[in-house]
This record gives sequence, C-alpha cells and structure tokens, in this order.
Amino acid sequence: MTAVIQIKGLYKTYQKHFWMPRQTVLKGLNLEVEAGQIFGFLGPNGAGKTTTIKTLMGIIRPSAGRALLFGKDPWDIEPKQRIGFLPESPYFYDYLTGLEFLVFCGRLFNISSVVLKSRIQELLALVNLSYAADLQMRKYSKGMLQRIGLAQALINDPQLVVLDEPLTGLDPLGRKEFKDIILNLKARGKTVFFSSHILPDAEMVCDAVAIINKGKLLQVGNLADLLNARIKAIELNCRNIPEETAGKMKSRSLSSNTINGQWQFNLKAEADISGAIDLVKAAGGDIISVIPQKESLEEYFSREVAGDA
Amino acid sequence: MRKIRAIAYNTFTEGIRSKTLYALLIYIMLILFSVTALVPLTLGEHSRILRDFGLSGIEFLSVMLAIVIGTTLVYKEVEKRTIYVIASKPVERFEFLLGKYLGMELLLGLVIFLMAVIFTLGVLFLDGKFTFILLLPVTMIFVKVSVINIIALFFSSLSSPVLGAVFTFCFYLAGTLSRDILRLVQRLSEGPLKIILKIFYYLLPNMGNMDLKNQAVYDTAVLWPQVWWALSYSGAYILAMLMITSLIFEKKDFK
Ligand SMILES: Nc1ncnc2c1ncn2[C@@H]1O[C@H](COP(=O)(O)OP(=O)(O)OP(=O)(O)O)[C@@H](O)[C@H]1O
Ligand SMILES: [Mg+2]
Repeated sequence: MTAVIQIKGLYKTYQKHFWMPRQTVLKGLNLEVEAGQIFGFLGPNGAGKTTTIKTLMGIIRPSAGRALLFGKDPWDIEPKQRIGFLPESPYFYDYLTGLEFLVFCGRLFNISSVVLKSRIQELLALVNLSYAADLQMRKYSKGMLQRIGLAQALINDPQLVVLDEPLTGLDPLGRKEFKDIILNLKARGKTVFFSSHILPDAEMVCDAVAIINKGKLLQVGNLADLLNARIKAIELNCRNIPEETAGKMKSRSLSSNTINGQWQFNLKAEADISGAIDLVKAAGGDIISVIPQKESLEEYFSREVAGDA
Repeated sequence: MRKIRAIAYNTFTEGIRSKTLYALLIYIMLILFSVTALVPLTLGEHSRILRDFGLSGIEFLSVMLAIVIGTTLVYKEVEKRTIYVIASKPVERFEFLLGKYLGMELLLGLVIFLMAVIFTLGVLFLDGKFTFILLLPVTMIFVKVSVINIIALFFSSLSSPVLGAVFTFCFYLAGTLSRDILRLVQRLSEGPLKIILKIFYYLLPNMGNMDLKNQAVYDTAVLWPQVWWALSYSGAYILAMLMITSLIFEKKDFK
C-alpha cells in the first residue's frame, strides 16, 4: 500500500525582512502516513506543525525537500480532489451564512447542485449546526466556526482529512462528537491526519503518532508500540489476604496501598505477575484485577520533548 | 468554469454586503444632490453641467471603488486566511484570480449601471428627452474602470493595499494624461530619460482614447473607430495584465 502522505527531507525557512537572518522552521522532516490510519501529529507550540500542514495543502512551498499527497505534488489540483482540510483557528467569509459557505465550497469541487444539497444537510446535522445554517458566520462562536470548518472539510467526501488542531475551541461534548466523527471516518476507510495539543483525546483515537520539535521528527510509530515499550508497573488488586501474605507481597512490589481490606500492589515487571498471583491464591485471597500501568501519551510526550531540549 | 463563477459570485456578494460600498453610494447621492441644487443658478447651461458633472462623477466614484475594494480583494483573503480554504481545494490559482477579477467587474458593473440610471433620469428631467448615445461614454467608463481593476489586482498581489492603491491611482492619473506624456517624449532629445519615459508610456494604460465625455457634453458626433480601438486595446491590456499577475501569483506563498 502506498503512503497517503509522504514528507521527504522537508525544509522551510522564513525571512521576515530581507535584512533579518533566515529562520529555519522545518529542518529536514521525514514522515509517511499509511492509508486508513488515524494519525496524530504532535509537538509543542512553534514546533512547525502548521507549517508542515500548510506545505502539504499547497499553501506554501517547501524551501527544500518534498511533501506529497497520494504521491503527487500538492501544488497540482488533482490530489486536492480527494482531500479535506480544516485550518487552525479557522476564519471564514464572515458575510456568508454557514449554508452559503458550504454551497461555495461544494462548487469548488464541481459537485452538482442536487448532490450538494443533500450532502450539506447531512453535514450540518453531523456537526450539529443545522440550527445556525442561515446565520451569517460573523455571528458564529469559535466552536461553531470549528464545526462549520469540519463540515466544509468533508464536503467532497475526501479520502484524506487533514485537521489542524480540530479539538481546540470545542466544549467537552463537541470534543466527543469530533472524536466520534474522526473514528467514523476511519471506519469508512478514510485516513485522518490531525495535529493536537489535547493529548488524552489524541491517545483515545490515534493509531499512530509523530512527535516533532523545533522542526525535526522526534518519534513516530504505532501508539500502542510507543507506549507499551515503557510499562511503568503492573497493578495487581486483590482481597482477603492475611497480614503475612501482604507483607510478602509488599517486598515483591514497588509500592502498595490498602483501602477497606482491598490491596493494591505495583509490581515491577511482567515476570513478577504469576508468582504474585500464586502467592495470593495460596493464602486464599481473591484476585480482582491485573492492570499494566502504561505511560500515558502525555507523559511520553513530555519526556520526549524535554529530552530534546 | 463553475469554480470561477463561484469565486466571482462570492466576491460580488462580499462587495454587496460590505459597508464600504454603501458609504460610497451615500457619498454619490450627496454629490448628486448638491449638483442638482446648484443647477438652477446657471440658467441655460444646466443640461451641459449635469452631463459634465454626472459623467465625471460616475467615473471618479467607480475608479475610487475599483481602487479601494480592488486593492484589498486578494490581500484580505490572504490576511484573514480565508484563502486557506480555496488553496486546499482543487482550484488553480489562475482560476482564483480570474474569479476575483470577474466578481469585482460584476460589482463595478452594477454600481455603474445604478449611477447611469440616476444620470439618465437627471438628463431626462432637465432636457425632457434622452438620447441613448449618452450611454456610450458610460460604457467607456466601465471599460476604463475594468483596466483600473486589473491594475489594482496586479499591485495588490505584489504589495500591501495602501501601496497598491497609491500605485494604481498614479497609473490612473498618468494613464489619463498618456497623450501628454507621449507629446513630452517626442519633444525630448535622445537620451536615457527619453527611453525610460517611452517605456513608461507603453506600460501605462492609454486611457485618453477611452474618454468620450466631451462628445457627450458638446453633442459632437461619436468617432466609432476610436471606440473600437479603445475596446480592443483595453481587452488586450487586461488579458496581458491578468497573465502577468497570475504568473506572479503562481509562485506565491500564502504566508
Ligand atoms: N509566515 C511566517 N513567517 C515567519 N515565521 C513563521 C511564519 N509562520 C510560522 N513561522 C514560525 O515558524 C515556527 C513554527 O510555526 P508553526 O505555526 O508551524 O508551529 P505549530 O507547531 O503549528 O505551533 P502551534 O502549536 O502553536 O500551532 C514558529 O517559530 C513561527 O514563528
Ligand atoms: Mg499550529
């Protein structure tokens, strides 16, 4: 399967004024995104996420290297038939109503009026904005702009959806709705590439993530692989064990605590699990649960970025 | 074609719903009222004055509109980042420019049409009759403004709206005086200044020939060859400028 997004040795330099030194924002970025994935594009403020996405969308040109969509230059219009894009803190024509704006976007794809009409109704319902369809967008709130922005990104039923911080500006319900939409896109075989600062949410939906910092790739991979590589501890919960067994368990654990006769032991490694279970059972205790304590994406991210400082 | 039409229609909608347009229209009304208030004072000459003032007013205000709105058209899309939506959709940059240009033409056409209606009513009121040949100078104003419009688009895709407006206005003034510049060039002795001025003369839109106001004011016969020449000249000028602008635009980063 060919990659939907390919970024090869991408550089971008900016020069604010001709007398000022050039600032290198992207420094040889490499990245591939396979079809059918939900791909999280993470990095601290100013890391170069938006710059990368703008290069992918054909809004700016690379200074060196390439960014390809479906193996094609985003400066051509052909690959753009199959993509949808939601910009960062979107701002649209404020003199148009939401409905007029979606009609405008549909026309840019030559979608026939009949198809467009029904698709717009579906999309407005999907992003919960049917009630504001005839309101001028100057009267939209931040979250409403985000919603209409997602609707316009899906107007052409795209194969690849690129979202720059889709979750910011949304209330908790909105975030849940957007995550469901993203998961549903994946279920329909689409690829979703999005940048985000809301890591718990990203962790919930992403198949794979890339972390960039200062214009360079720090880490990329399947989310499960990245996080499982560092199991912090294995939490074993049990009940009905005598003092003596508890003492033995403590000596095998990193830490422990007890609430209302229920014990929690944090074991160091997977190898310790069966021994611990045997011990509890031999003493007539009940095992309640065994939970591996993975690092959260947030912790992983902080560690990676701090390590790069 | 539908994409260009969508962009043109959107640009037109923006103009129609903008406050700038209405501010300018109110301004027009005020001027027309003060002119009609002046008319009774100059007995006998009033029809001629109305034609003179009316046509100059239509030209001045539509040129102002073309400059004020025209130089901000593309800039605003880039500045407010609304262009991100269009840039990420299957639209050639040339189609975007053409759509913007045509939308602005539509707006200018509508405004000139409205002013022409008011002008016609004024002439009808004062003269008791109206000859349709009076609308020819109005049409030529539209042609002239179409040229200004493309110049505004060109400069605004090169620089900021303010600089663009200043340059466009200079081009307009110099273009109106293009015959005098030619005369000056002919009088100069050979030298670098003559060459520079000559190049400048050829770059300028030659708008002297697009002016039919005197014929309308003094009821002289229309010189049709002049009209045809002005039309084809403007067409060629607009096409050439459109091509140059889209060449520049093709390479541009939208920030
Ligand atoms: N048009 C521009 N001109 C000059 N510098 C720019 C421009 N756009 C971005 N930069 C610089 O590029 C760097 C990366 O910016 P970018 O917007 O890509 O970051 P980001 O990862 O999207 O950050 P955030 O999470 O805050 O959105 C920043 O240092 C910024 O100052
Ligand atoms: Mg960003």
